Amino acid sequence: MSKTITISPTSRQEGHATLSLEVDDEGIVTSGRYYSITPVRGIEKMVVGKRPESAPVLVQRICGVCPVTHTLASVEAIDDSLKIDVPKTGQMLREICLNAHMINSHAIHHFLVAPDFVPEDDYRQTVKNVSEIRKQAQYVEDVIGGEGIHPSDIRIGGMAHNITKNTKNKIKTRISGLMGLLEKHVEQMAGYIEAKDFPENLGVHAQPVLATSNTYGSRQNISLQSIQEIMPNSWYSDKYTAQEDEEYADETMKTAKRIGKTACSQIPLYDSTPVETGPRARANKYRRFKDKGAKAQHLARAQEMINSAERIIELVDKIDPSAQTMAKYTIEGTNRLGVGVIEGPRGTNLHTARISPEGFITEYNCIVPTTWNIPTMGMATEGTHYKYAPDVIRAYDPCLSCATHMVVVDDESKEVLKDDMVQL
Amino acid sequence: MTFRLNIDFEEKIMKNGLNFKRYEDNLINIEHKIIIEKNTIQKKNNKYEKDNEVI
Repeated sequence: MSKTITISPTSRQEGHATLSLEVDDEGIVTSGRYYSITPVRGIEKMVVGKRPESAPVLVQRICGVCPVTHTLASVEAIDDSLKIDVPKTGQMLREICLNAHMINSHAIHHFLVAPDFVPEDDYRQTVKNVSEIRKQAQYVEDVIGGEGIHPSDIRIGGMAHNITKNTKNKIKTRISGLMGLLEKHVEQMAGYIEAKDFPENLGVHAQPVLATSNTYGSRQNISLQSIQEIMPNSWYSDKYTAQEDEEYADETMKTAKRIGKTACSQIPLYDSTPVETGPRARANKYRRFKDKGAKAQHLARAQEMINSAERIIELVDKIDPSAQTMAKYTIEGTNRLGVGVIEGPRGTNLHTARISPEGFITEYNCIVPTTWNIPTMGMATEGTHYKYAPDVIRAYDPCLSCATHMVVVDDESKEVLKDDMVQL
Repeated sequence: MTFRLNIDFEEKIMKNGLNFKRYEDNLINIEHKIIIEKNTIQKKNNKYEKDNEVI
């Protein structure tokens, strides 16, 4: 007989989430549901009615772990809406900043997941390596973005300033110098993952993988027409008819209904199905990496750090310190929907923005990496013992504050958690 | 667990218009719902054998 096991809140994650797992007599997960219970901030609504310059500054506060990603997605969306052509050097600086952030953020991810597979004796050294990697990557974010956390110099139209010849050399020296440690770190992580006695096929799912670029993000490689967002109350309980709903026939249905009312993230679908996005998806599409499951996630993430470092070295050589980095523009919108797509550490980050002719934001929406991954991660817990389910989640995407966009509001009594879901 | 919104903020949201996206009236009709379920079940059955599709 199946029973439901609830793990709430799940641990070693940014934000709060719940795992609700239906398991059989042997403890094997037959149905996995994973959902965010992080409180809503309503940032997409806050930017409506404000000048476009406010949007990158506000939306980067969606997350302190990947603010660069949100800033870039925001400026890309507004650039697109206002039809601004960013100068080539500005675009390259944006990409260098993102790739430095990728290394930094993957290192943080390793810090979070290390207790899952790094042997106790090696843990201290692993954390030291992670700290050193982060220090060098953060330096690049600092000098290009203005600040490592919540960068101020990534602007609509390009970058606020170019880098000097001296800074260019420093970036190249630091990242080239980091390559040895990165390669050693990746090799060690791969060894630990391989040696860990995770069950075969842990974290495997059958959903498609979504990626738009190897190192930056491309709005040309995603179709807005293929995307749908579903309310969580419908997704988690959609197999029950309205009649059954009234009867509340069994415990399973009650659980599904409760989850639907509690979950704070909508369910995005691409071509009518949930997808996985992130390092393994990019590796699958652009680097012929076909492994599946939780181990493959860790491996793809580690290898991507080297991929990003190589891209920084390649791009920094091409930077002309005397070139223009900002486009000249006027904020006169045409109500055109601008699309910004950035491949962040956790996956494809999609922001859309609309600017009125008067120069104010009239519509803003984010479909962030974790939102894409949430339904897929639940499915990835299925087929193995429930005690491994948190390991699967951490392997995929342990970041939730960005994914939270929903709250339940009762229109009449103004009480929350009642009848209708509101996207914020 | 309870969420509480600041009343002013909540009223502002109400005034500015809520971006409601209900399952029933948001592009997805019953036939579409069936396609979604079929897609998901079909994929689940092959999850260990087949490579993930790439988008």
